[in-house]
Amino acid sequence: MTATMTRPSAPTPVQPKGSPAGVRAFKRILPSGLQLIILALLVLFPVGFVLLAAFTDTSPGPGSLGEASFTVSNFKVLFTSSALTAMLNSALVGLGSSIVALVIGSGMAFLAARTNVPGRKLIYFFGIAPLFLPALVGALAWAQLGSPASGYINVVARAIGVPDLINIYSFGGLIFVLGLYYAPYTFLMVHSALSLMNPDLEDAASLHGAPLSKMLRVITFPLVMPAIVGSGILVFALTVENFPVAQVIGVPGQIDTLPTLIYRLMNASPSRQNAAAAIAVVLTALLMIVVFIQQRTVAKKQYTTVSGKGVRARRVPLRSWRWPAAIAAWAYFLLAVILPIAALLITALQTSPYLGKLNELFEPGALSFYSMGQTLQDAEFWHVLRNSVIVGLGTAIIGTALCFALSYTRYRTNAWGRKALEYIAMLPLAIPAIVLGLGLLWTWLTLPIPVYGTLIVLVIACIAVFIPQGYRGVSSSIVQLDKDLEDSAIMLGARRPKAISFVTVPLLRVGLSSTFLLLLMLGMRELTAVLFLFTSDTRLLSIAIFDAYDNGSFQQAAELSLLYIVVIGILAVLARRLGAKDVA
Amino acid sequence: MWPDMTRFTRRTVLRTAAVTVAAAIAATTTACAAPPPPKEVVQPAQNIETSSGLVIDGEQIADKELWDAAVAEGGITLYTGYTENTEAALLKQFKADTGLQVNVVRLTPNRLYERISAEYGADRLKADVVRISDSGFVSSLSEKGVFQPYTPSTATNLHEDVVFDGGNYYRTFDPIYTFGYNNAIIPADEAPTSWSVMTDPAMRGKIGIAQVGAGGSALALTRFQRSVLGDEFLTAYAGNRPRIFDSLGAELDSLARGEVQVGTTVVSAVNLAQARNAPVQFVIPKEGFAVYDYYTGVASTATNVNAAKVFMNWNLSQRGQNVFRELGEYSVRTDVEAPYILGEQFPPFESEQVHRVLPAEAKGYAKEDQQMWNSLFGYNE
Amino acid sequence: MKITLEHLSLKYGANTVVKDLDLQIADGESLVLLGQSGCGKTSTMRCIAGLEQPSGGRITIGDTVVHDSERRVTVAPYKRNVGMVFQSYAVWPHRTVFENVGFSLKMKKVPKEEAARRVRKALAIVGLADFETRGASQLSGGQMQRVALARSLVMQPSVLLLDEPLSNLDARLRERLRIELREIQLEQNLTTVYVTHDQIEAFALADRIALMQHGRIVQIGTPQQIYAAPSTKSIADFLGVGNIFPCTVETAGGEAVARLTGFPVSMPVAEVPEGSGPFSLCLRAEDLHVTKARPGESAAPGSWLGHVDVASFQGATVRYRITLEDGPVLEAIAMPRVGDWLGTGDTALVQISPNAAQVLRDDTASPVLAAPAARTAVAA
Repeated sequence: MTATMTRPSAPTPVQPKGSPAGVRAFKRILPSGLQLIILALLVLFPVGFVLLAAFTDTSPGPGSLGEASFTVSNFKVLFTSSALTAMLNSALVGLGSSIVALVIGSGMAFLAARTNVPGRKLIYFFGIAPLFLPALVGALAWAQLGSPASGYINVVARAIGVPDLINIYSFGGLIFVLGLYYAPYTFLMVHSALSLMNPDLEDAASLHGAPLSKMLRVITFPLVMPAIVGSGILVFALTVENFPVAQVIGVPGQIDTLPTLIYRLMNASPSRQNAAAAIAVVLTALLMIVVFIQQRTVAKKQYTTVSGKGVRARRVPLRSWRWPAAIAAWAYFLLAVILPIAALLITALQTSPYLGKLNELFEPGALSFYSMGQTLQDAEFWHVLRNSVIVGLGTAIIGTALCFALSYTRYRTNAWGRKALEYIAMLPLAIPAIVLGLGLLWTWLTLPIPVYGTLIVLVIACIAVFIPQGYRGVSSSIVQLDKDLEDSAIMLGARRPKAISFVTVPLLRVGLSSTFLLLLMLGMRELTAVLFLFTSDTRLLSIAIFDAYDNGSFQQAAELSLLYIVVIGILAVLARRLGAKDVA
Repeated sequence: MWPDMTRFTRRTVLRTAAVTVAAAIAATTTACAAPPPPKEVVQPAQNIETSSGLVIDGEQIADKELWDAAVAEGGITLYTGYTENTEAALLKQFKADTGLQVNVVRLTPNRLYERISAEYGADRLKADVVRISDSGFVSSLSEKGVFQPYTPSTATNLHEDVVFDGGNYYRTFDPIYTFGYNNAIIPADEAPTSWSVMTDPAMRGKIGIAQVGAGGSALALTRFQRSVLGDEFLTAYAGNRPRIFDSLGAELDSLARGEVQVGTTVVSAVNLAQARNAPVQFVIPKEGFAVYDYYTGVASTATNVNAAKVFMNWNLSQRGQNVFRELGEYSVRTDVEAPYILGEQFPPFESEQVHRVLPAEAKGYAKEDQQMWNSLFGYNE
Repeated sequence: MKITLEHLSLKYGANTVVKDLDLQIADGESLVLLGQSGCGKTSTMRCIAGLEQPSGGRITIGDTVVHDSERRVTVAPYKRNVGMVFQSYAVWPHRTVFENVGFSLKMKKVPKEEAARRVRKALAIVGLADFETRGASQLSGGQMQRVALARSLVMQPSVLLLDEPLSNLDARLRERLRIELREIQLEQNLTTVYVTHDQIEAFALADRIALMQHGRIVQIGTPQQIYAAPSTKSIADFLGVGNIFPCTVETAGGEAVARLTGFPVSMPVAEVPEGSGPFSLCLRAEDLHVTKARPGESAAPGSWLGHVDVASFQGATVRYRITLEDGPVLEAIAMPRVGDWLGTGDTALVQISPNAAQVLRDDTASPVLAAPAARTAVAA
């Protein structure tokens, strides 16, 4: 330790000039100001336009702003019998399906997390597997399975002499399908609460003499209650705003919900956009209330402690219930995944689109891969797939970058307005996707930026809908990263952007890439938000499936659905590998 | 007895699934017995000559100058509201006849109208040709300046009421709106022959109807039903628990699958569906049926003007009109007969059974009809 | 280079964490900012670094004004040539030791060969010569600290800042590194500012200590000065100087006597601070002599009898807790080799060295007066 660093000689005195106050203030506001503008375009403008359409009498478009006059008469539509029925239906369906989802999800979570049921790991997989099936595809498959005259289940039943077994186009069917495909949300939340529960709590109970059943009833169950209630409310909100399942399963059975009513009003001739907007406003208000309640419920009661010890939780011995429980779990997997995929396969392979009797299936030449082969070679299919990939990648790349900028500004700077940034970024959670889609349509029709009719507007729509998920993903990583790591680079002579690219971004690699994959998957899956924005040449895979369904070509819908599942499945596995938490 | 479940990890299951799907995809791209192709509904042209302009079956579609210019342009962009399958069948013939490409933007008529208005207003309409139903829509577009006037050389021997706004747009064909039934469930000898089947108590809950907001077609049908069959008929129809469909396409599919047994349909759609073995058949009811207008015109924003003109010429030529006829639409030419579809001969256009609402009337009745229908069927009230 | 802080203030929202602070640090001096958490010491250091924007005042490093709130002048941190070792070390785990240390040279675009030479020299100074290619995530705490130090040294900073440099290390490592840090600092003759809450660390590392409370410097001086004469009770408490009791002072004829409040114990004192009180009496543990009381012995004036509650053997010293007959509980330190060594329960005779008792101003009720402005001491 004898070397001495040569000291720099005293530098010539430098008196740095001051910059005028205005310029400095501008520089302070610029980064967050810019992001606020972007968020306004993505989120606030659409909301604004929906409000505008609801309270005026002209449909939004270029030049319409001048002619619009204020009115509340659009809200008369709320009192028509169809709207009132739709509201009632939405409430009933939401309630019913959230109960179904809760029962299934909590039951499976309990089995997987805390019992000695055979094949626990597999049951965990069962609990989350339906997430790989987009709700639209699940609904289509169940339409194929359960439609009154020609559904496969009915065809099989007829063959064994049981006529008219099920009609999926009913309240029961709608609640069933929704409950089936939203159960994974409750499953994930309850499962994590059960497995992260501090075992000391239960140990203390049993040390004081509580038998197992009592312990479960008095300690375990109440502690998991917040997760159950919270996830139940979340599922209620999601099922009320769901569009694809309601359209495919509910509408053929004359069951309208608020989202399908909005869709119908938009497609009416002439299009009743203002009425649709009025309903959209009501739906959004309802959803905001529900989300608000959910946040309060979850925030107030943090009973489960996430301690590093939450691993060796007590196993509940099921005894004589072991095998029935396992069978029940398998039954769920059968209903949610196996049957639907099988139905899609058969539909895709049928040579004749119309199936009257069961034995027609077994005639030679009844099933063939020919049609699938044709679809795979169809230029239009590759065009649509290419569109989906572009939109997915665009959403993922731009969305991740934007969410990184937002998170960084919020958690790493003192920029003016950064709390507002976070609030607006999370706002889309409380806006139904169909309402956001409406607003985006009107925003990009009216603004003089020519993106309507291109893939760009679809990317914009997907980013707008999924900012909350992306933001949450990146934020949780940024917050865990020590600020000093970046600051030390500054002290060593790096400018801030260089410090970010040298230190922060590489260290956030895992968080950023998992957010990227999450957005990629969500972007490729989305239907509802882009529903009003696409045109013939900018169709996505999800829209192509919906279009095929709308035009009555179930076979093409089935073929595309199968391909869809494969693509989403691959992405989901990749995302899990890299540790994405919010697959929902 | 039960294998160790921990080995059935998600990875294994997914791998198996992936392998299965990969095998399936491989199988599809290798040779598989192709099922018998669907029957051809339209006869291809016998004789096409392109040495001096385009001449098909002896009829000159385009003179040399126009033809050469069109070929140089290569094709058109068509904005159409016509049913997807039927337009595709039509364009297949056009492409076979001319070799020109057609880039199709297809939306339901009301959404098409919104889109064209929006794009035209923003100066970004990319259409060469526009095809749309509903006289209200098309006249509104014409007023806005979406079309440019053009007189096709083939616009001869036309009915009255074909040329509009000085040649801005032309009534091109009239689809037939009637009802059909599922002939796997209802045998041909018990086939209904009258609209009264819709009010038959035995058919309660097994009938269908497309909602009136679906487009100009539905309005035409409603007008026909109100004026010819009477409001009592409609009331009884509504009371017979029909299933209401958002679109004709969905209704036809439901009919073919037997979810409803009788429902309103368009003849050309049934024609094409039967060619794919759908068990559906239409009825020519004794009270008659409705027809509605489909209009086509060259867009003022056309960049491929010559190809657009050739398209218009072809549409209004004998050849083109015969293609419409074979599909199942009424032609607008006096020298083309009424359609003969699936063994049924339709009456001539002037016959009493054919009910067409004149454009002027249609505008007047539209709103009232729609309101009345909505309140009757409890729809969108 | 010397550092001058004039009227420095820093606010977070409505909260003022540094209040009108003045400080001059001489070139090559090692100054320690000492205080409890929340007293503003880290904030002051970060203002010097440029990582915080002061709300008022002026900072000069060498001859360059790096911040002047009035004239709205600020030099960005990456231009100040200030080295900083963070409490968490902030060594980049995704890079090697060489890349960590060489970063500042990369930023200055120093040619590769010269950069490599300087990096190796810096590593040699901190004793990590063979660690060049090691991944930074594979280092122990002490090694990381040295890498952080080398990283800053290599850029030849005008000033070196260290934020709680030893707090994350275990006791033995801490003692060793304390000495090493001091050695490096003296050798390089670097102006260094440390921040710590550990008074022992402060005593070992400092040329001068600036004690901070509530955003102000309340006392500044050499470690010996501060230990010998803490200006208030709270400072004495913080430094762990000795037994402190509230007391009253009576002056009679040029002689002052301090009387413990609530106990019949009094003793003469040499000096009394200005003002009328309240006062505290400070008895240093090392100034109390403890001997075994002979049975029946009574206490002469200036000594007291007491009862040993706990005798804690600590290797080189013994620490007694003694409850005097008159009431107060004292802690005293003795060397076990010298004199008797008492055990628990023994009766002790406690004496205090003459004039060793110190009367301090009791500032509990009225905290925080700025340190007398005249203390612009020159480095020792």
